[in-house]
Amino acid sequence: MITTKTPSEIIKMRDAGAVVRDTLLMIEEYIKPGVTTKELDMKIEEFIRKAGAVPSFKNYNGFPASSCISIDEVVVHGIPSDRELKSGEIVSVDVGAILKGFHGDAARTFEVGEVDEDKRKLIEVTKQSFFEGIRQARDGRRLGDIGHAIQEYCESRGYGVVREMAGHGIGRHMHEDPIIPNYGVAGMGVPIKKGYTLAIEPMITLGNPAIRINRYDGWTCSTADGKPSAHYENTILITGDEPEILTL
Amino acid sequence: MCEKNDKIKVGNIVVSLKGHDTGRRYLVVCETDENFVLVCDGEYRKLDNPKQKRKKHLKFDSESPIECNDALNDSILRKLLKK
Repeated sequence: MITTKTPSEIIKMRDAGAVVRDTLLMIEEYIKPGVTTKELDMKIEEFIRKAGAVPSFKNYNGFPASSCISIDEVVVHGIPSDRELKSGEIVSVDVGAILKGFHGDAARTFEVGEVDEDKRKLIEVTKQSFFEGIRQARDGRRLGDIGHAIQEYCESRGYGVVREMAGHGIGRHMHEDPIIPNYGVAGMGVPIKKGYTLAIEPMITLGNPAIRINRYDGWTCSTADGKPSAHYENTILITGDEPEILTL
Repeated sequence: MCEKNDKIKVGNIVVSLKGHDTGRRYLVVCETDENFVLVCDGEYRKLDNPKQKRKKHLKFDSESPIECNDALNDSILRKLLKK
């Protein structure tokens, strides 16, 4: 069931979104060669808890950390470890927080040191595809319009759009209906209505969009061909006009 | 954190791909484990006697989820599946 948020719920969603936004702004300063992903995760958890919120990823279906930190070919759900960041890598940080019973969810891909042109372009296209997608996220449009806009923007530039993972509704639960694929047919799917809060998250790869999930941890999702991938996510609120981005 | 784009889940309408009921539309009412769900159509399989189906023998059919609550009965379900 897709839930429409009331004005008082929207205020709480804005507060939760602000915590996630501030966490991502804070962690950007720590992304340097030599730092381990576990250290970054600890900083994220500390920051979220200091803000009075709870990291929503921790123990979510058994996920062992407060954030997903995915390096290069890891698309999403990278588990923080003792692995050090190296110059030339791209790292995506996905953060979620619960404040006053409501969730905020966002992700960014950062550059570590000096990265090559291909990776820089990948990050840029991923970010821009999100904005192309939310241009369609208006009252009266359909979910297929969002997916189609993202797919069209990325595939016309030669990038791959991951099919197996998708965006989602968000609110009292992190994953609510509807599922929002980053591909689709314009004019198809569930109608978008005012008051919906959605997490839209294009996951774009430099090569083939096929992915595989690590069979040992059950989480780490990497590209099958080992090529880099980027992720950009924000929680948005559907209004009568332009959507409001709650985590930016 | 993104969600798996797995649409065979509670509240979604699916079509049977295998078995004597091939082509029949059902509503998923419960997920019993990783591979199985319980499905109903309000006619051949009523809500109080759901059928267990393997997920890989089903295909996602509609993108409009239905709320499985107390108000749902066999007659409403039949109408919803006819649409």
